[in-house]
Amino acid sequence: MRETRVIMGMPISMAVLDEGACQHDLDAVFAEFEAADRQFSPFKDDSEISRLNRGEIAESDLTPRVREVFALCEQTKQETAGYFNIVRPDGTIDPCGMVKGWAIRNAARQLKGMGFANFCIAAGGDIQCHGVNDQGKDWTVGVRNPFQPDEIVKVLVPKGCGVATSGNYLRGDHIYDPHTGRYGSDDIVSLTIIGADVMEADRYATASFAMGRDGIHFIENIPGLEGYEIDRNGVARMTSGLEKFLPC
Amino acid sequence: MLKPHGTHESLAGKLLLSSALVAVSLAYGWWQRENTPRPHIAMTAPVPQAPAPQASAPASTPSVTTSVAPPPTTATAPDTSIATLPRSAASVAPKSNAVAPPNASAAPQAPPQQEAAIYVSPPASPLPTVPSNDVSPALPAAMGTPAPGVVPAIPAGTHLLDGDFVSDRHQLEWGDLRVRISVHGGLITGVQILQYPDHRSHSLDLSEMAGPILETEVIKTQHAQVDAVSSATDTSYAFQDVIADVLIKATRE
Repeated sequence: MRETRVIMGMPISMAVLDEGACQHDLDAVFAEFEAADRQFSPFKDDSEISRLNRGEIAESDLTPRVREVFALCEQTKQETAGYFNIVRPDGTIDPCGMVKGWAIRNAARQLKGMGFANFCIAAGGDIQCHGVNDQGKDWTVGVRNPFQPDEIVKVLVPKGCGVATSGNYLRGDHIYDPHTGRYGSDDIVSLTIIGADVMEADRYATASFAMGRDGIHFIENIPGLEGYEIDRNGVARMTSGLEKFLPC
Repeated sequence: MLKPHGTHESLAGKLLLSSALVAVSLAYGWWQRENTPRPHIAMTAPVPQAPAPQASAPASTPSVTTSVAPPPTTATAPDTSIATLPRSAASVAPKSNAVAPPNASAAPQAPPQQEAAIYVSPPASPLPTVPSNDVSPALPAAMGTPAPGVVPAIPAGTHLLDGDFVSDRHQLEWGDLRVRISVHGGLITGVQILQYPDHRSHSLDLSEMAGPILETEVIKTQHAQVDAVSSATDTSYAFQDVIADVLIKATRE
């Protein structure tokens, strides 16, 4: 069973390859994404987040799910020296940076709970796979070429780990030019993280990308995380353990 | 641009001349370092001000690494005043290397607030507005003699032309350096750093060197089939993805 739906403003693709997977199963998982969207989206007026931002509810009124996400956000903020922050300059809260990875991780847990072992969920560039693909081999994930969206520049074999990429492909005048290295300050255009699960990968991708050239070193120093960084010259740097996730 | 400023007397003039010589010497030292093959990578640094148009940016060396850099630029119009400097003896290069980070950082780290103490004359215009295609003679050329190293190289009695002179943009380890000197009555009456290497990036690079050197590669298109693609979503490509996926879905229903 494979299906793609657009939820949370992004395409969410699910492939569940086990025998017996049926439409009802996929519907149940997609329904959870939709529930997360209704609850967390700052773009929906009646979401819990929007009501909190408007002051209609207090923090003490928040549901356990929102508290769980907020706690994860706070934990990530502390683990990343404040680089992960859901409080916007205007004081409002936007937890989207956590909700996506959290929702994909939940979906993977849901599928496992249903007894499925071979599936892949790809949502807005974040990926969580489990088991094997339709060839009976490890799932493979390509890192998109930040300068050429229809190409990939690296193949990863995450083996059950999660993959997430943060990037900044289109910022004004940063057209790819390998001859000049000095144009503005955003040296890094793409940072892909492999973590124990997609939520780990996603939250650290967001934070370490914000660290600029230090981000990959930050990842290097955290056990259980690997990274692949691409700078605007088309030069990649990778953490020393990334080779574990490269094809043979 | 060539508006002379008021005359300033001896002590200040001498101090400024010294400043200029130090600036030139440091610039040359950096240049030497920049041209010394290094195994390390990723020495690019952002410039703190509005960047020059790409075509006019002098690039005598590729600003990325020596070992993994993309093809070097053709550099049709490199910084001629620099290019004519003698590639001095091996004895100079190690010395400039030895000067490296701590000393080299001294001049560019002079924050803008301190500039007022350096200038004899206030800048004629705000710094960022200095046009990048300014054709004023380059500093060493204006002085008539290329500075061959860290020792002052202008013979006593050398006549300086009156006016303001803007150096070319010199690519240094941690960014570009560009200065303007004002000469009046044959004396340097002002030195202004128009652009200096970004010391913030500098410190980042230093911390980088302190850590492990990570493996690098030039990215290359892979033709392997993959099951999924990881990418950032906060781009307009996300919109393309959405459209593409919806179209696929539309063909199935």
